[in-house]
Amino acid sequence: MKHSFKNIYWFVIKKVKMGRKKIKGLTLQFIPYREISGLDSVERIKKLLKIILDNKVVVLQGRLRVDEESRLIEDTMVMIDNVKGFKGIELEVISGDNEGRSFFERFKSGIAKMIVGQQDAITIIGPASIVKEMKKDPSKLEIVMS
Amino acid sequence: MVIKILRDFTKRMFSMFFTSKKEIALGFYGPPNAGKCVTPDTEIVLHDGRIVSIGELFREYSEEIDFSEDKEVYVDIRKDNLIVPSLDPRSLKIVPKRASHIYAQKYNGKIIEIITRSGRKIKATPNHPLLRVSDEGVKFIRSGDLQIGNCIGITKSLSLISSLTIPQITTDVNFEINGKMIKAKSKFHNPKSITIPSYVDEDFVSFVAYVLSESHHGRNKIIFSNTDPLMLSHFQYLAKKLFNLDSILRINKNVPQIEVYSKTLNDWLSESVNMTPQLSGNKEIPSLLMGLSDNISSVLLRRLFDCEGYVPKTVRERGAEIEFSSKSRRFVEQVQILLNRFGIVGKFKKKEIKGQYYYRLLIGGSDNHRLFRDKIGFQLKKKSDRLDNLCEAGLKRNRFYLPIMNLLENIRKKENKTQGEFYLDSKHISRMVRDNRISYHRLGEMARKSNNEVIKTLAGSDNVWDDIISVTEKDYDGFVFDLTIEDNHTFIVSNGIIAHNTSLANRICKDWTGEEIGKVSKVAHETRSVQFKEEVEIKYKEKSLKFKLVDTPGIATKVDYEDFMKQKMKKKQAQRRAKEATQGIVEAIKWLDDMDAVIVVIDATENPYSQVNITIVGNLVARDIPVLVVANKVDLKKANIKKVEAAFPDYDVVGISAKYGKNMDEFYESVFNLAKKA
Repeated sequence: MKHSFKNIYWFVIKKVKMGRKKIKGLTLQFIPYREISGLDSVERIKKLLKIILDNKVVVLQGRLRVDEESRLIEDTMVMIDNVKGFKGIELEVISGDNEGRSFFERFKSGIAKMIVGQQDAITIIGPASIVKEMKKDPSKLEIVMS
Repeated sequence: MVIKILRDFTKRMFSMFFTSKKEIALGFYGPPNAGKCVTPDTEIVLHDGRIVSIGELFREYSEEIDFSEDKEVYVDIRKDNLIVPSLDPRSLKIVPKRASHIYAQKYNGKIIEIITRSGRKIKATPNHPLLRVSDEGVKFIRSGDLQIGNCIGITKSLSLISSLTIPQITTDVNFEINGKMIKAKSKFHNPKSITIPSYVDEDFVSFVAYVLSESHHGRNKIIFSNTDPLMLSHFQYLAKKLFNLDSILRINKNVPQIEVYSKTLNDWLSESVNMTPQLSGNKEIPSLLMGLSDNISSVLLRRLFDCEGYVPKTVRERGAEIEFSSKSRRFVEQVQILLNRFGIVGKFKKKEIKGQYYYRLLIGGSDNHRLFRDKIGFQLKKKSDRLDNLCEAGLKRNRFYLPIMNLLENIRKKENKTQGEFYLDSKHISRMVRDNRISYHRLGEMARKSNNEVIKTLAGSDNVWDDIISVTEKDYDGFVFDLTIEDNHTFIVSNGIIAHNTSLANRICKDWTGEEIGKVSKVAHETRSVQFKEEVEIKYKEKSLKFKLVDTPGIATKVDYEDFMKQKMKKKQAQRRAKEATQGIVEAIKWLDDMDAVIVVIDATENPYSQVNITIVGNLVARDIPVLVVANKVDLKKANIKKVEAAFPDYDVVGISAKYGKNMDEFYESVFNLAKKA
């Protein structure tokens, strides 16, 4: 995977002192899918990381593509090295499972996924300093705050 | 070259379309190293000439990590650039390689002690592999499966590299520096000023050799006693030339001795060259002198053997071996390592004189004697004359034999040659076949005429094969250690035995199945913490499975250096570790694209959430890569497989115990199922 970390440096520098801020309360930020649908991979990740660095938990409609997801983790690792106080993220996806569906329904959702991206899922990403762990059961998701 | 690439390519294309068994890439995600290994007193040769016991080495890198029972600790030491000589199992050449991890584990169970004919000894856990040659070729075999008579690898040629410059005194804590002269600081006395050499040359090496072998080395004096007038005057000359010190000649009990008094000299020797006055049992050659060029090493050896060596008067004398003896085991082992530079291999023996043990290095066989005469030689006329006698005697003692006659006979039949043509001489062949052994020497002669790859590799190897004369099982309770070496996965124990390091991936597909990892391929990847082995084959219930094995560090989405600090690490060190961890994760992610199937290994005794991130497992599934979750250590009381299952509800979880091989049937079944999905 070709990768340059240059494009994330701009806010790395900006947020260096983040760790010293005291967190007051918990902020959830909901992002509808259409907000990220027009962006390319780099910009999506940039947008998400920016919110996370503000110590907010992101609730995203839909899910990222797999390569974006791994890219997000990679960028997170670079951020851990560079941003003081940043410990990483917790990321979890819950999606409608395909198992109970008929063939036609699966086909339909497959086509829809191809055209508009996977929207029938929810992705939750939070900074590790706030979200302690996420427990996933196929049907439900538990988030433990620290 | 081009043809080779083309051939490889067509082969690959062919196998892709026409063979039903596709080699799949199987990734192991988990801690990179979790093998069991050698006991802490095992001494390892480092490339800069140092010899360190693995226990010490671990302490050096782990600093203040506190590790409790039942816990495995591995320390990433890639940043420290610890270079060790390592044997490439394919070409059988010794090359310098970087150590990537050092590992410790509490172990309570059997250990195997192996002693070879030449007196080399190793203590390791039964799972620890050693290099062995047999009719099946060169393979690593679990030490627990070794038997008396098997041949294991020991080093023959080994060149270490150490710096030629002597570290300079820069701080004036202990010394007053005045240009080239230094003087030790003393409250009550006014010590002499001395000059100091700045680099290692023949003179310096000779001086050190004299001090080590025949001197009384005290805190402020060095007394060299010898009956040879030439050596006495040489020592006197060296003291004057190197350090500008005058010495006194005295006769003590009819033995002439040269006395050099200087506190400054001794302080400097211990500070700069790390040569402190030692009792004879603890003497060792400073690591600075272990990796010099051939010429200077040869001078060092010549001086040492002049003083401490013994050559029998006649060939008939028992042994007819050049002997080097000392009370210090390490000293003798170091001399062997230096001799390895010239391809001379001796055997170790222990001797008891008046309740004290002396270690002897015996160099037998005229091949070795000739090498010794050509490369090292003696300065003393008496000894060199005796050596000439030995060289002409044509002694065949101490030759190393390889039990590979069946292998050679097969090659011969394939090449359609008569025994006379193939072995170049039809003498002794029936005996060789009957005893199943061929001498290393003869193989070397055959290699000159033969084009066979196997013979050439075996004969041109940097190691020889030594047969085991004793295998004993002992109970052991304590820590065991392992060192992971990149690419080659072998390291060299101070007495020359070549040991293999173990890793989790190895443990799963090798240690239990008895199958070996065939090749270790070099990765042309800029990051090398991801281990990568091709053509691994496991067999289970008549089924066999071939795959490429990728052993990577685990992937997480968070790394907190404070977690490292909980292991009693200092803050700075913890931060460094955290940084290394993040880099490891980035590397591991890059490999995701190449995987066909993945086995995630989880320690069942620990919180599954803190080990392998569930996200990444989800990510793998989204990529349509089949995943198998293995919960290890289910034999322990603390283990909670339910918790693992709860953490990975969507995936197959198999609970196993690596230590006791529990539930392996189910594990292999699952691996085969996993491969079908891939």
